[in-house]
Amino acid sequence: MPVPSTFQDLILKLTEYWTAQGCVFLQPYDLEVGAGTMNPSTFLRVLGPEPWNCVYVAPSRRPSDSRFGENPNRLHQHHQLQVILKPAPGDPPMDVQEVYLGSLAAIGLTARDHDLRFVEDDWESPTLNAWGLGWEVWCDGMEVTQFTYFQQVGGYDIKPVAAELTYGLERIAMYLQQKDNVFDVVYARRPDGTPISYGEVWKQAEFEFSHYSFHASEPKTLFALFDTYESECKRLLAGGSGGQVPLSGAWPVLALPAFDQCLKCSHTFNLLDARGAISVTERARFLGRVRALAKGCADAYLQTRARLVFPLLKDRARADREAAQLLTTKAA
Amino acid sequence: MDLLLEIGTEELPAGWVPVALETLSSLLARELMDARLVAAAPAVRTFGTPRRIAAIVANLSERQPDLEERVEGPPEQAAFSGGQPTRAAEGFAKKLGVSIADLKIEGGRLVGVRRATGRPAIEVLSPLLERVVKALPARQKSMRWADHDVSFPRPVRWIVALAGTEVVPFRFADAQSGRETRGHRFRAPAPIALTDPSHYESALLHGHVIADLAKRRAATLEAAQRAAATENLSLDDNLALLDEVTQLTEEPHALVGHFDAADLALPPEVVKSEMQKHQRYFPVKKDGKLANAFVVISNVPVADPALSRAGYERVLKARLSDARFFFEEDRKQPLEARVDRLDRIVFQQALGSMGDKVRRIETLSEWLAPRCGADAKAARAVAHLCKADLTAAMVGEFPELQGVMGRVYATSLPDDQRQAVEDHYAPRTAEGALPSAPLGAVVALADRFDSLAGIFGIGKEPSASADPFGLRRAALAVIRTVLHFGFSISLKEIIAQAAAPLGAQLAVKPDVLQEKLHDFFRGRLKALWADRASADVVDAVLEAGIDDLVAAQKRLTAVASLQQRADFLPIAETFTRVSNLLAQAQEKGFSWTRAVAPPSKSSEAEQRLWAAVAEFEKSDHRQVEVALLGLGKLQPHLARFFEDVMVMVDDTDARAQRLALLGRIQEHFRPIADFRRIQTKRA
Repeated sequence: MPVPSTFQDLILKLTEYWTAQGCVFLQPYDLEVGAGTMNPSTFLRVLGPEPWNCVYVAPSRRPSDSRFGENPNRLHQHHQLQVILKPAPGDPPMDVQEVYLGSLAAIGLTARDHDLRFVEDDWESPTLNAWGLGWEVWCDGMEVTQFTYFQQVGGYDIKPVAAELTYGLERIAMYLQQKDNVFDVVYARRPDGTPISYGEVWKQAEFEFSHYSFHASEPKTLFALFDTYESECKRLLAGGSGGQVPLSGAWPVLALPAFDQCLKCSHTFNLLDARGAISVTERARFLGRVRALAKGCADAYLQTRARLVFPLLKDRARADREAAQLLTTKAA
Repeated sequence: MDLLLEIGTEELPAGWVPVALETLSSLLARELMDARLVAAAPAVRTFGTPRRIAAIVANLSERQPDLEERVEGPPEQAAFSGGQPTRAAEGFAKKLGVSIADLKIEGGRLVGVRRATGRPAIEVLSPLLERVVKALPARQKSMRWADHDVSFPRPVRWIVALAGTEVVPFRFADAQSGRETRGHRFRAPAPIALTDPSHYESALLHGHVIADLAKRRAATLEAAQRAAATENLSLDDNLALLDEVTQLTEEPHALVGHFDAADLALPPEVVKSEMQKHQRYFPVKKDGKLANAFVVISNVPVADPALSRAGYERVLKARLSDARFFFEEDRKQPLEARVDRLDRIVFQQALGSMGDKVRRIETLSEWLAPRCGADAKAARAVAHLCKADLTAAMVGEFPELQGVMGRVYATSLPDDQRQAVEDHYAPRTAEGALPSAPLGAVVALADRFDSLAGIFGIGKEPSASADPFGLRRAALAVIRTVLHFGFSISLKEIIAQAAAPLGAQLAVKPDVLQEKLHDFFRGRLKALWADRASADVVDAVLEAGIDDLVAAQKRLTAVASLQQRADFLPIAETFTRVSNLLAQAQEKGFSWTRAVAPPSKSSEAEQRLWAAVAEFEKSDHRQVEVALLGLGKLQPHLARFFEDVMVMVDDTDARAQRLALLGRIQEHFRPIADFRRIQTKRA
């Protein structure tokens, strides 16, 4: 396979590969997230027994990593390519590792030319009540993918186990194009073949968002927004009756809109953190608040899917059994 | 016949493989002995790579030997009634699978022999091997995969189980045991069928896998050394890295790469940390100095080394340029300016900020220094800066460099104090190097006693399973440091000094704190001394007090060497008797004053003992070795005394005099060891 010559070609090659493997090709989620894991297509979809295979690019915002477009490696916003395989294919010779290696071959990285290795790296996100075991995948000493078998998310055991593959696109592009500075990466080419650089596409945004992250954001406003998003999330999780006597025209528990509010809280927290507005002790408390929301969303989502009797699951007997189990434990 | 078990997996955590091999070896040995497939502990050879753990056990029986076992049944009275066997007797016979006529009466009970025909090894091995695979991960963090309920550190993909030439069938998750192994993931991906366990190692070698861990380690080292030598470089010794790298490939191939010589302006520790910890590259030296090159061990021989080398180099280059940025940023301000920022870092909620901790370390160091032959002012200066590098960007990026960066950045201090800033973290591991001079040791001790007194003081002492502040390691570090430097200091005083500034913050009363910490130290000493003396001797010495750790260790050595003597047990017995008698007397409320001279009317045995005690007291008995020798010589006199003289007599004067004499003897041995702890009757 020829090496993709541009950043966007890299994205195209990987998505083409994974769609051919039966993944749903989703578009980036339209809210600020710190990592692809926070996308509801990962965080919520891996819950419960339903199968789910998808691929998407996750623009990932890390306000603390802002460097005004001056650092060759760090960005306020980088791009992950995220793949969820649930269940992960397990039958040799095409088990999940081999399928994954196929994706590297699709972008020209093979063991003939490169030292490809799976090096232990476990993953844990206390904020998402989640953990998994897996590897960072090395290509000549560089981490190209985070490969995780989810064990728990939102405090729930993930069964069947889902594999999460997260490719760091900028890093891979720098590697493939042999660039030392991310802003020199060729993003695309004009019809005449002249390059459009990553810097041309993103540098101004890096500069402005860095100023926003470190100087211009207003902690007072952000604190207020955090509170607002938090109460909005809780309100949606309580359902239209707000936990009170059902009103006419009440709506059901809305896990997905509630989770949007949770994501906004999380990003607002990251902004406050970058601004240095949160002390060490406060930090733990704020993270605890986000964790409680995420947990609430996971609970609500599973309840909703259980009430629908896990429609994506082929094994209907299992769907009935697990749905009943979930609904009765909740009732108890 | 031989047995081969191979568990083929996805890439395992590097640190687990050596542990797993030990467990596998002992599990197999035990199970096979229990199953009577081997007569004695068998020879087990183990193999481990990132993708497999395996063992070969030699010389198994093809079938279990028949079993003949004598079993006792019900008593004779219950077994027969009027000459007829009872239900109990019939039940017993049935259980053994024999008839009543085969049973005998022995010692008043019904006795029979249970015979079991040995089963073929294959039958026994199926469940046995399945148990072994399940039990293997025991204490390792394990995972589930696919839809299975079982767990293992990484998914199991295949299992080879061969007894001689036959497959031992069993299943774990979706792996069904067979005879097919796999070679190198990339170099020999096709299954390799094995006919016999003896071919295992050579078949894998053919499949580009060096399965034997020691051999692969040697091959890794050799490849790295050979690669380094091509550029006149030598490896910077790092055995821990070699162990880890050995576990990251199935077949090692070495490459040399380079980086910008300008990056050598960074502290060598930083450059090495980047290479070793983050990239698992071996740093190399030229003419004894760190060179701008490295050796990396690859899992494959790539087609064009230049391409892959460029990759390795680019990763390191990006990391070093980050490090250079941090280094330059950090040095824009003096280390002193960072001290104030420690007030913003929480040490522990109830114990305040890191800044508070530093102020306490300063005071404690200043107090401790003169007691340890160090300068008080210097100790305070070191303590003041010892944690300041925690707010440096470099330490944020490489936490393992805390202390090292402090030394590098503390440019205002003289060299010995800069070294002490780094040394105050030593020893960094249980067996790590100790501070290089008393100055660093003083601050190291002050830091650890502050944590010990503080955390115990707020009632958060470590539990059996959790020790989040690393207090066990801290106490062990204290002991090693004090003993190494021979600091003669009082544990009790230091604890009191460390607790004093915490005052109102402490939830535990001072005497309880002392008691708990002394217990804690006794626990660490017990572990540390386990290979120096038997457990009872250690207990006896600990019981006599540990306030001065150096003295306590001397006493241990002395008592342990006394233990080698033939008359040790009589000595221990006699002193135990002295202590027991005195304890009894105290319980009964008898009183006696300290004896000064022998009473006029006393027996010969009493007189002799008096004379022996006086002789002993003339010796240099402050030296524990001298004291123990002398006390040993008292033993025959004491034994005689106990034979001839009644101590607990009704004559109050005589009793008081005799108790006083014993009391005086106890005064000499009790501070050395509590002999009542010595096991005088060997089990």
